[in-house]
Amino acid sequence: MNRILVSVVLLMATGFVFGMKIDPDPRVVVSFMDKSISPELDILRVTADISPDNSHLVFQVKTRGERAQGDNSDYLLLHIMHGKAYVLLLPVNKDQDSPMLVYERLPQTGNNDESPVLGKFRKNAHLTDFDTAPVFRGGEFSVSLDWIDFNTHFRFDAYTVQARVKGDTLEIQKIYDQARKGKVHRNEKPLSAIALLNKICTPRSNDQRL
Amino acid sequence: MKEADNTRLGMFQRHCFSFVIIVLLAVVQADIRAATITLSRPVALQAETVAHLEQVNTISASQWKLVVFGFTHCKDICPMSLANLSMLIKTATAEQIDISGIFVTIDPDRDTASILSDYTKSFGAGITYLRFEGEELERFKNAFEVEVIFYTKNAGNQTNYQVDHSTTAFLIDPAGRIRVIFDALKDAPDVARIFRDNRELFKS
Repeated sequence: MNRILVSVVLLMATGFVFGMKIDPDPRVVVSFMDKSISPELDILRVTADISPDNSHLVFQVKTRGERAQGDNSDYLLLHIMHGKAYVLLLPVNKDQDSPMLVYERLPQTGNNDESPVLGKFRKNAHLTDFDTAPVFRGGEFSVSLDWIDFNTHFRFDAYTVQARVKGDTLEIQKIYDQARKGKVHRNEKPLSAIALLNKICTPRSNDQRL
Repeated sequence: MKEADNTRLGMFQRHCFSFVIIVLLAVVQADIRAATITLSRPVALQAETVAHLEQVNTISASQWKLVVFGFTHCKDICPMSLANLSMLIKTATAEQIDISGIFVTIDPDRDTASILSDYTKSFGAGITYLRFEGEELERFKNAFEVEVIFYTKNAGNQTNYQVDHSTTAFLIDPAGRIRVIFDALKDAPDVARIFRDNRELFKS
């Protein structure tokens, strides 16, 4: 009995410590594994990092699996709140070509805080210095640093969705999985993109983590 | 037979060790890339933050400022950052750029004014310090998105604790706008290059 109690306490403590380490990092959004959805639609983690040439912020979305072919309307989606709401799409199918397009949220009624990407978006042809690329079990979305206004708040999250593109309009019809900060973080102070450039110094081990 | 097995085991262990070292080196390599960002749209700091930066006696409003955050109990990272800051001030001064370095403590409980004064002086002329407490420190840190995590600091331990913090440093123009964001530890050569080659930045 005592062993069980000790184990439970240790597990709780471990979870708490990991929680402390992971949750406050503004460059990472964790989405726990969900075996009820297909592996290629199951997001595990989203990370933000600067590109090697210092020109872009790269958001990498990692999923539990991948697929070469399948439903053409399934996408990895990066959602950015930066003045307006923007989305970038990358097909879940590795073999599916898709032009790189950035969409802006169309004005709509009602509170969409629970599902901020459901609904319609319009193509923004002026935003061109963006890029997407598939990676092993996931995808990368590159956002130009010149586009980012460091005076303005910045927030990002990622989804796997079913979407329909018709002309210049994108309609997100269904969300399979999401990686976004949960309700406990709603009261966090708004973030500047400066935080996404931060590297953390850890003198205890004389190293740095990105 | 047993000897042959031992030899094979030894070789396997050496290969494993080599593999681990290669992986570690790859990880370290991935970790040391620079990230100097010259902002196309400068970030205007709030009046309170600018006033704080100019409250230092030795700094005039017309000067450029290099701002780094840290704590004096930091064993190596902060000293290396300040050594870089000192080098950058010398480089800028040689290029006729009027500039000052500011070290902002994130650990005011241990970093007294006296300790900070001695500490910054040890890195040479042109570097001074700022020390805030409580809410004032929080607001100042938030203006620069500085991240700080204290370890093992509690009611029973107010002296022997460690602090993780972001190493991002800032070049601020005389108008109180952030113009360049860089890593104080790794990007000093990039910033020195900006001082030498990007004269337009210092005219704007």
